[in-house]
Amino acid sequence: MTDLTYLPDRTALEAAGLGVEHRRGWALRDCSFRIPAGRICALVGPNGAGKSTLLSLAAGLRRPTTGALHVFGGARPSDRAARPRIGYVAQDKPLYPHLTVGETLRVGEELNPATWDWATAERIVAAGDLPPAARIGSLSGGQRTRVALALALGKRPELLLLDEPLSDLDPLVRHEMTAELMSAAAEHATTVVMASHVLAELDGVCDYLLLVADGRIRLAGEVEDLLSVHSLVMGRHEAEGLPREFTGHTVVESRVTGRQITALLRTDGPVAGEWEVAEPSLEELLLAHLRSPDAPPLLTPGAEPRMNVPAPKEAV
Amino acid sequence: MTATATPLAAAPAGARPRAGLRGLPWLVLRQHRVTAWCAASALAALVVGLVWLRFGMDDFIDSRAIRDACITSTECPTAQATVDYFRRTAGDLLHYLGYPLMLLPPIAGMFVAGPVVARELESGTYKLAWTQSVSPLRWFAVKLSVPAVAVLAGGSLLSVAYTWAWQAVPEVLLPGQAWYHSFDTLGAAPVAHALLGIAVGALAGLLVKRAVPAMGAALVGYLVLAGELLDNLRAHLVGPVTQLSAAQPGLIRDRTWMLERGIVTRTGEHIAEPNCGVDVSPEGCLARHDGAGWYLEFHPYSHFWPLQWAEAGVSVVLAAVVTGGAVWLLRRMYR
Amino acid sequence: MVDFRIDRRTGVATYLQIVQQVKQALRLGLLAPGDKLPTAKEVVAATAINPNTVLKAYRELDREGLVEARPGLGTFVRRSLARPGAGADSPLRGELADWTQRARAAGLDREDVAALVASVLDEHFGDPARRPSEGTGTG
Repeated sequence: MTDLTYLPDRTALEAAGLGVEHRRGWALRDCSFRIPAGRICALVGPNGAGKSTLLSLAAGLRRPTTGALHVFGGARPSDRAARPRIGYVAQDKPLYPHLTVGETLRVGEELNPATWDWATAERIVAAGDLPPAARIGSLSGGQRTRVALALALGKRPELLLLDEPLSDLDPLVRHEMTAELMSAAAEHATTVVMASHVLAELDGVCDYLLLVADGRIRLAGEVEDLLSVHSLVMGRHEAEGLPREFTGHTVVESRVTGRQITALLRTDGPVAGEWEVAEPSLEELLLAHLRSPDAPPLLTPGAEPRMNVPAPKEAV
Repeated sequence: MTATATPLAAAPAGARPRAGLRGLPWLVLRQHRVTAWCAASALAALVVGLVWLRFGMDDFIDSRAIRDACITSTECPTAQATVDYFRRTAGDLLHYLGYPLMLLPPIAGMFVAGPVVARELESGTYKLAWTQSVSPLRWFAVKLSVPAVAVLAGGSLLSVAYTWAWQAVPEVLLPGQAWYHSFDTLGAAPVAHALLGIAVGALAGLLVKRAVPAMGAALVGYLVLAGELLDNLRAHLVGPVTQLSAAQPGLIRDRTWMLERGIVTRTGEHIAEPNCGVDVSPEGCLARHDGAGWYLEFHPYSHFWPLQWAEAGVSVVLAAVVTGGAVWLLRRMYR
Repeated sequence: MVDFRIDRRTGVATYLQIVQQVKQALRLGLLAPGDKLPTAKEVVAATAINPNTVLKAYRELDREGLVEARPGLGTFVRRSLARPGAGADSPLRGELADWTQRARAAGLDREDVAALVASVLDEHFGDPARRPSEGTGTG
C-alpha cells in the first residue's frame, strides 16, 4: 500500500472553546476544530477574521483568553518540547534588516541547533539568486519572503504555520515556493497551515480547510468531504421564497436571477425535482459561505476536537 | 544597494564548524556589533588615558613636592600656584574621565530598553526569535545577560582603573573629588548601578514596547530609583559615627563625610543645625535650645568600602527585584 | 518517466488527472512494466500540488493492479495497457487511416468524423459519461 502522508489519527493542531479578547473586542470566539497531522490546511477568511490571531496562538506567541489550543495531541505551543517542532512565518515576514542573507540563515542554525537543515535553506535562497552577502534591508518584499520561507523550512518543523505566505510573490516564484512547501510536506509529512484570502492559490494545494469569519469557525474538515456534502443546484424559480424541494437540506446561499435560482445546499440525500445538480468548486463553496454569515457552521467528523478540556467558559 | 560581505556569512554548504559564541548570545552580539565595537574602543581609550593620567599625576606630585600641600593659600603661598595648576589640568581631567562611569548606568539602561528589547517588539522581529527553538523567557534572559556580562567586565575594568588613578591624589589637592563626592564613580558602585540600569531598561522595554519612548522611560525610571532612593539611602547604609562634645565641633576634617551637626538637649533630643540667627555665639545658641552639648555625625574614610559594598548590594537586590517584575510581566503577556 | 500536467480549470479532480495520464502513458507504451513512477516528492516539486493527491492517485492505480508500491523503493508499473493492436504501426491503425481518408473524400469535416467515431464508440463500449468514474472495478 502507498501510505498517505497525513496520519488521520494523529493530531497536529486542535482547539476547544478557544477565545481571544483584544482591546476592541473578541478576535476569536469559541473556536473548536482539529487538524490531523500531515494535512495541508487552508486557513481562509476575510481580512480581520482572526486568521492571524489563530496562527500566532498556534505559534506560541500569545495565549488564549478562554479555552485551549494544543499541538501534537496534547502539548501547548509554548512548551519547551513543542517550540522546536513548530515553524512560523508572520504576515509581515519579520527579519533582522541589518543582517545579511547568510547571517540570517545562520540565525536559523544557531537558534535551531537540533533540526537545522542547511541544504534546504540554501537551496531556496540560491534559487532566488540572493547572494549570501546581501543585506536583508536591501531586499525586495518578495525576496524577503523567500528568505523567511527558507528560514522556516530550514527549521524542518512538523507543523508549519504560514500567514499569507505567497501574497507578495510573482506567479513564477509563487509556484516555486508552493512546490517547495509541498515537497517538504511529501518528504517529512509536515503539517502545513496556510492563511490566505487568495482562494485561487489554494485549489489543488490544500486538502483541509478551516474557514474563519468574525472570529468563529464556519467550516472545518477535509476539502473533499466538505465539497461532497454540498451541492450547487440550479433550476427554474417558480414562486416567491425557496423551492419546496429544498426543505430537509440546509440552504447556505440562494440567488435568483430572472427566472433562474442558483443555490448552494448542504444536502441530506438527493434533491427532489428537476434540478441541475453539481458539486461546487472550492472557490464556490468558500464564497457562498463568506456571503452568508448566518449559515450554520459545519465540522466534518475528522475535524471535531478530541482533546479533553473543561467546558469552554463563555465570557460575557 | 550593494551589500557588505562579512566574514560570518562567508562559508556556504556543508557542516559548519564554528568557533566562538553560539546560539542566542551570538545573535545578540551580532545585532549590536557596532555598539559593542564602539564600547570596547571607548573602554580601551579610557583605560589607557587613566593609566597615563595616574603616572603623570604621581610624577607631578612627587617632583613638585605638593603631596602635603596645605589647604589654604595663606599657609603656604609658594606652593599655591603649583596646586592651582594641578587642579586646572590633572584635576579637571580626572573629573571628566569620571563622567563615563557616572553615565554608564543610565546609558546601559537606555540601550537595553530601546535597541535591545523594545526595538524587537516594535519591529516584530521577536516573532522570528520566539518561533525558532527559543522560548521568550530564554530570549529575554540572554538579551539581559549579554549587556550585563559586558557591563560587569568592562565596567569593572574601567572602575578599577579610575579608582586606581583617583587614589594617587591626596584629598587636600582635590577636595572637590573627595571620596564622598566621587562615590558614584569609585569602586563597586558604578558597576552595580549599571546592573540596576539594565534591569530598569529591560522592564521599560517590555512595558513600553517602542524604542524611543522606552529609552525615555528607562532614563526616568533609573533617575528616580538611583537619584531619589539610592542617594538618600546612602548615608544610612552603614551606621555613621556620632561624636559628642561640649564645644561646637568644626565641620572641616580631612577625608571625612560630614552628615549632621547639632545640639543634644537635656532630654536627649537631637536638634540638627539649630537656627539661632546671626551674631549668636555657639554658647548662646546652646542655652537658647536648653542644650547639654553638641553632636556631630559623620562617616570617616574607613567607612568608604563598607558603604561601597552596601550600596552595591542594595543596587543588585533592586536590580533583581526589577528583573523579577519584568519576567513576571513577560510570562503574563506571552505564554 | 512521465511528466504530469495538471490543469486546475478542467474541473477534473487532480488525482484523476494523474490516474488518467499514467494510464495514457501505459497505453502508449511510454511506461512499461518494471518502470518506476516518479516519487510523490518529485511530482509535487514539479507541479506544486498536494502530495496526498499524488499518493491518492497511486493508491488508485495500485487498487486497479496497474502499479505496486514497494516500501522504501517507490512505486513500480506492474502491467502495461499497451495492446498489440493499438501500436502506431498496427494493421488496425492502417485501416482506420484508410477509413478516415474515405470519410474526408466524402466531404465530412473533422467534427463530423469525431462525432461519428464517438457515437460508434458509445454503441460498442457504452457511454463514458454514464459511468461513475473511469477505471474503477477492474483489477
